[in-house]
Amino acid sequence: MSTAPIPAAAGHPGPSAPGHLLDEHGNDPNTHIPPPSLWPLLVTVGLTMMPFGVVSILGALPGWGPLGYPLFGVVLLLTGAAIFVGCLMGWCHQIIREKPISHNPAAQQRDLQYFVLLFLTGELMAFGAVFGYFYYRHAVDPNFGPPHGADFHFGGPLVAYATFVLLSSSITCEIAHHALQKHQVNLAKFMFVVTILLGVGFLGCMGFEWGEFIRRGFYPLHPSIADSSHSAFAAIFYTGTGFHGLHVAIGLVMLFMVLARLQAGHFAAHRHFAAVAASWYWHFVDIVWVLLFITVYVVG
Amino acid sequence: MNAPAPMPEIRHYTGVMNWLTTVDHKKIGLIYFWFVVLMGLVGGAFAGAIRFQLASPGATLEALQAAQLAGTAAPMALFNADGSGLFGNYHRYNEMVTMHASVMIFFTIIPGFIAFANYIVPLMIGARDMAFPKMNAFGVWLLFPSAILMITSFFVKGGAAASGWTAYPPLSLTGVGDPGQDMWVMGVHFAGVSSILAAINFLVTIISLRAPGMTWSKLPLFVWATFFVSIIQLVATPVLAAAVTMVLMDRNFGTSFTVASSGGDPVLYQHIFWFYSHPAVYIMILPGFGAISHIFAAFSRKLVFGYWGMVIATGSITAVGFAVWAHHMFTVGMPIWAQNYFMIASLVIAVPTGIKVFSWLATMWGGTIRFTTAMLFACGFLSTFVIGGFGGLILALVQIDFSFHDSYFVVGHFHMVLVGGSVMLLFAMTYYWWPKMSGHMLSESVGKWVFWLMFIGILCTFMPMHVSGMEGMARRIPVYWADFRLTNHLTTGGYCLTFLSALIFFIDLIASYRRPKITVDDPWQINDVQQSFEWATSCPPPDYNFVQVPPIPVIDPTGGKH
Ligand SMILES: [Cu+2]
Repeated sequence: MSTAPIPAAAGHPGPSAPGHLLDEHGNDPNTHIPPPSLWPLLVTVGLTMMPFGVVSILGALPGWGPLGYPLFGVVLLLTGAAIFVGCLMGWCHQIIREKPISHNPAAQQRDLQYFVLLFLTGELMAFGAVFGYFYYRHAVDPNFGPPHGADFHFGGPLVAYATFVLLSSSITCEIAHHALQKHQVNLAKFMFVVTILLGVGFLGCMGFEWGEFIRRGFYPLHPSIADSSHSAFAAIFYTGTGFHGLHVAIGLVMLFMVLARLQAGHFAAHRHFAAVAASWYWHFVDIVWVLLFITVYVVG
Repeated sequence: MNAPAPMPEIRHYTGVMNWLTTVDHKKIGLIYFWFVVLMGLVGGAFAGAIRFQLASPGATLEALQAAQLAGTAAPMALFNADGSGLFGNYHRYNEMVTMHASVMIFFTIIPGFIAFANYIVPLMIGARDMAFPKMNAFGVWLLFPSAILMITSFFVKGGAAASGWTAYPPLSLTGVGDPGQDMWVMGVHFAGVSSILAAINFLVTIISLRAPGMTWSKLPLFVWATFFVSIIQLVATPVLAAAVTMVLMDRNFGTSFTVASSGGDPVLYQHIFWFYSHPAVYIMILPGFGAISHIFAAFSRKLVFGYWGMVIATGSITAVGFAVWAHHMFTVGMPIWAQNYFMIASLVIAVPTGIKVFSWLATMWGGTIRFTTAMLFACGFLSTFVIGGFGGLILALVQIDFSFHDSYFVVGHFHMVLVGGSVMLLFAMTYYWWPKMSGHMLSESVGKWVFWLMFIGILCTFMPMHVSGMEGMARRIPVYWADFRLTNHLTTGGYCLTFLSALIFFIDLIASYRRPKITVDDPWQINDVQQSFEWATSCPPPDYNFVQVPPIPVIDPTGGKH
């Protein structure tokens, strides 16, 4: 097979048919060609600065020039975080902006959906470690569990409300998605707003629950009201629910961005990947909560 | 088909900026490759420090005791109990052991295979690039902060992590306030994210970007291997992240995940850690298994024997590999049924591995064999890997493991499969694919020297370790009884040969750029027997890989007729 000197374009996926020739620019008419991008490197630069900022704040870098001063560490951490967030947004912006030049939107949408599914598989495994920890300790240590006290009741109406709120938000999210498919933009917007409010409500419930537990002496960090077994339970309880809460918060940011793009008129009835991704992520967060609820409150 | 919409203005960069902004899988593959070469030398140098300590008779326990009794100065060593050595105290030795392992595993062997997969897999399936090119670039860049965090941690207060690459608590919970261990954990996080993103990218690429006609039953074995390994990486790596996060939180936030005194469980940490780290050994070997099938077939002028056997064997290693992790921790006090289960399951892995070994032998059987350097490395790999594998079988037996655990037998075993296996595979793949990747040949005559020095070096380094271990030499201890002097001398000598051959290779790698450009697509002249898309385009391929979509291979890799 010969390679005639066709002017190069940065290549990208998805050849069409065997023997199919490129156009005079070296582009396959059926593929989408991504331009070079500095964003991945810049995001990494931000990410590199942050841990060094933290280490510097801890005062562990004496003799490292300015890094020896914790104040500089604070500056480094904040600058790194700003670069990270800013460049991540730049990256997203580049992706959103280059979308219309895609020549094979269907294939690209399908690939992005694979991405979300695989990413969520990885996330599920991270939660799997939390569940694994919980069930192993539950099996080997009879004392593993929440403390029992006269004025301490683990689980209760508040958690039930929170679960109900999160489950209903999954339904409203799905309604919004369907509305989008039927191009009922106003209904979609309304339902996304309801979903976000319900999500915030869930976080509020959990925050209140945490506060209540801590007030009654069930501390996340060290042995508290009863014997030491509850300390490991506290660690896994607060980490598990905290990690889940973090995911709810990320999901809220995604939903908010979808709402903003919906407001800007970005989505079409057949092409609204960001909305699909956000809704899948939201369902995932929901499912994990159900598992977590059963694990921590029912089994625990 | 509508006419394509006009392309918006695309900025093109030149020089260094061309590399910093690249999203091309071939350039990214080369960045991975050079990162790996550099880190391999760094990790090899760390190993040198370890060998220097263990080589010097002055470092043996008896010599130290004699000096103490005589009231003379302690004998010369790199690391000394009293901190008098060139590199200070024994703590530094522990740092060296930890960082040698971390650099070799996270920055040399795992990304080494990703380097080749990045370059070759899209070519093999006839794609123009990976599915997510920018994320691919992000994956390689993330390795840099990871490596910087780990290596600069030598210079922070308290020094680098010194609890081994396994970071078992409670050892890894010591020295709270010194950030070395924490920087190590963050380094693992970065490497882990890089690994997960690469895995997702490979999976989507292989699932959806295959050229028309490149069906699953025609997929080259290297692509199959990358596919299975990506599944392992995607599923296992988050669990590693969870394990090291527990250490990070116990150290810094006062939780008690792994603190036994307050209800935590250090043994459970080991379970979670090895749930990742046993499958991780397949991340470090399976892609090479796939690649070596091509090399055996190419230089025997035959098709690979038993295509489906190979695919199924790779798949079953992937699956069973998730269910054997606790063979690393027989001595922690598991129930007998668990010990028996993990022993039998570990032995079962030998079956698919055996299928692969015999298929490679059958591939060579009756072939027209050309002993190029790549083929030599492939044959060398087969012999050393089988030895290492048998060591693994021995260690999988619970009864024997109780006496060999944490001895040099274990060190000899896993180096035999990681250096005799993975590193030999990486060299074979480099000699095979470097002409495609760079457009220049590596020297075959220098290559022969590189191979023989390394082959003898590896045997000489790691075989005596088995003997030291059987006689009772403990791992991770910087001093030893004089009885082990002979075997340790052999090991150090072997190390020198191996490192020398790596240096010769490094020089030849740089020198290769001065050799004439390859003008043909298929310098090994193999594509008429074993058709593979990467040999159907120029060396190196143009930015867009193929001028036209490559035709479906005429020769069926399964050996079937069309
Ligand atoms: Cu293992």
